[in-house]
Amino acid sequence: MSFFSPQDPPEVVYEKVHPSVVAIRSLAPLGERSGSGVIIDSSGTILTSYSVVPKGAKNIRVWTTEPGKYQNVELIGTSKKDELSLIRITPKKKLSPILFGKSARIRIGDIAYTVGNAANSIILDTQPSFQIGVISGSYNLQEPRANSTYQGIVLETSAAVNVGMEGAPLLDKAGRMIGFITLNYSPNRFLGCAIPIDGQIFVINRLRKETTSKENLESKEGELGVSVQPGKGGLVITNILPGSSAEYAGLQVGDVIERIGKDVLQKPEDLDKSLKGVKSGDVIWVAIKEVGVIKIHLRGKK
Amino acid sequence: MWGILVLLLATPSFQEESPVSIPERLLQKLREQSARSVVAIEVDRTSDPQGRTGSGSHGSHNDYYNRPVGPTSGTVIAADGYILTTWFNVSGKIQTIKVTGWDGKSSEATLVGYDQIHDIALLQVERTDLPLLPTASRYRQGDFVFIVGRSPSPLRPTVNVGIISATDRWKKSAVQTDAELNYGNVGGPLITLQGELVGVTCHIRPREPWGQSSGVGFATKWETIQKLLPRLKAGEKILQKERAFLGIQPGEGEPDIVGIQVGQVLPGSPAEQAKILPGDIITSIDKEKVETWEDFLSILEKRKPGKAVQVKVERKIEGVWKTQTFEVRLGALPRGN
Repeated sequence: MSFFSPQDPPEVVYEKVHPSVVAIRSLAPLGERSGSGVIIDSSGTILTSYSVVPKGAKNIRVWTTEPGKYQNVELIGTSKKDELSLIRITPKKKLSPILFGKSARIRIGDIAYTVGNAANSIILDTQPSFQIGVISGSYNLQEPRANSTYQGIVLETSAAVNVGMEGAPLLDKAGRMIGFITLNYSPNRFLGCAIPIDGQIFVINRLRKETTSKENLESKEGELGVSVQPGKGGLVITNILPGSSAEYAGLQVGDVIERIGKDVLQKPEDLDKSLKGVKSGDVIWVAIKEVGVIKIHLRGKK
Repeated sequence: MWGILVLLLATPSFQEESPVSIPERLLQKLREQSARSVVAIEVDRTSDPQGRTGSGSHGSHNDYYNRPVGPTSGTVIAADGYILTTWFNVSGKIQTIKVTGWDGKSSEATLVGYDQIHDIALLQVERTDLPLLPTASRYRQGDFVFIVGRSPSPLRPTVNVGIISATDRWKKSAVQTDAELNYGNVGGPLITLQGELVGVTCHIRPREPWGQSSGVGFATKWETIQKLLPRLKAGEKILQKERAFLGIQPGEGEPDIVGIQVGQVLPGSPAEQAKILPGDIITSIDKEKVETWEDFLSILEKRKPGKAVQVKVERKIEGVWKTQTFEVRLGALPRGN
């Protein structure tokens, strides 16, 4: 019943991810909400559940793994049907955002972790609590339950999920985020469920874009923000600039870029050529091997 | 440690995508080694008639204190037959405590001392052949651990595996684990894959209100036990501190005011005597800001019953929020709450 992967023992995964996990409370029209969230970029954007920060939420407070709570938290946007909300803190120091995985690549039986504010571990003891299990199922939940507003495909995990974990990340065995915890569940199973991340990245970027368009106006040249080297039938990403369009789009080191628009990429120069004259705010279509075509809103060069 | 495991698992090539399980043989070996230090405890007792024997100071749910009778577990903690278990396992009006060792030999135990705050109790049996577990000096969040119990059949030890979820809970006195804890194995040891004792399990959260998996359990750390052991051996009975009590229950909150809203005022409570009303929003106590329920509880924790405090509230009078200050003489929290 227990497992580990020799490449990434659980304690190594914990070291990697724990600074990204936060506890959140807010006052909603129907009372105080409490749950978890995760830092998704270096500018302080936090992804959480709509059930923790619903529309109209006030007095939002964030507890990170640093002692003390954040006083000024900005609500970026909410999407009720996707059960997600974005908020932003002004970083007091360098943040370590979580890396996204691809939920489409997950198979039943894969190792999974949940990490969040179970039993108020972040608020009381500045320690996210960390649980192990497997991805034990994936099914369609068609009724909202508890405070959930999402209906659709979920990933079920045998890793412990408790009150205070809504909005917390579900991680793959390497500590990449593949979903976030929903309060919805199947009464036939009584296990924790998470909303797969793949379909949510577009929503996240749409909400994020609404607040980043201002900074884009000031800049002229668009930038993807990746370093690449040729291989695997395209260009393999070797590095991703923090805060870049690539990071926002959820690209990962190791992903293989095959095409941008109609341009087939073989050499690193092809990337520059293909992006020549593209401005911030423009949209490009990037074909990633094994993932498909991703739409990316380009941000300005820093 | 990983080195040993990897050797045991050694296959010519690791598939990146295929996880590997802890070898069953390793777990069997560890179970055999550790189970000799675990005993079954059967208590013949009259429970507290009010059922108010406990106080969930460490986040235990009420049903922890209302659980069924039956054998529980204990951990051999020191030479001369000293056994540690949870205080609740041996609370109430006790006639006899029967301890059954790994060899099936049963003997009567005496309750030497206990600490309600950390939910531990020290028993002693007249036996010198119960082995001690080596103790773990270093562990991290994510380390694999397991719990050995001896219930419901004292001769058949149980094993539940999980990881350390958090290393410093409840003022650094306990660790949190997702290994399954239940009424049978609570009191048993939490052990690393090296066979070393991390702590003695206690304070379980058997289930959550919305039905999903629990996976939240606690173990009092060996360091905490070690510090308390001389006092327990001397027969000390450390009682739950009497806690200060205001007598309110939380309300829904008010979006425009930072504070905690009073949902209910308990009849006969200090809050009622001071004329605090449902709907009031407490913003500070003795000039200490109150923003969350935790703030409120931690302020009360620092004060003794009988002390007078200044409670500042916002109250809506004819549609307008007005600041008012009340002097409240704190009471004592009734046991079992």
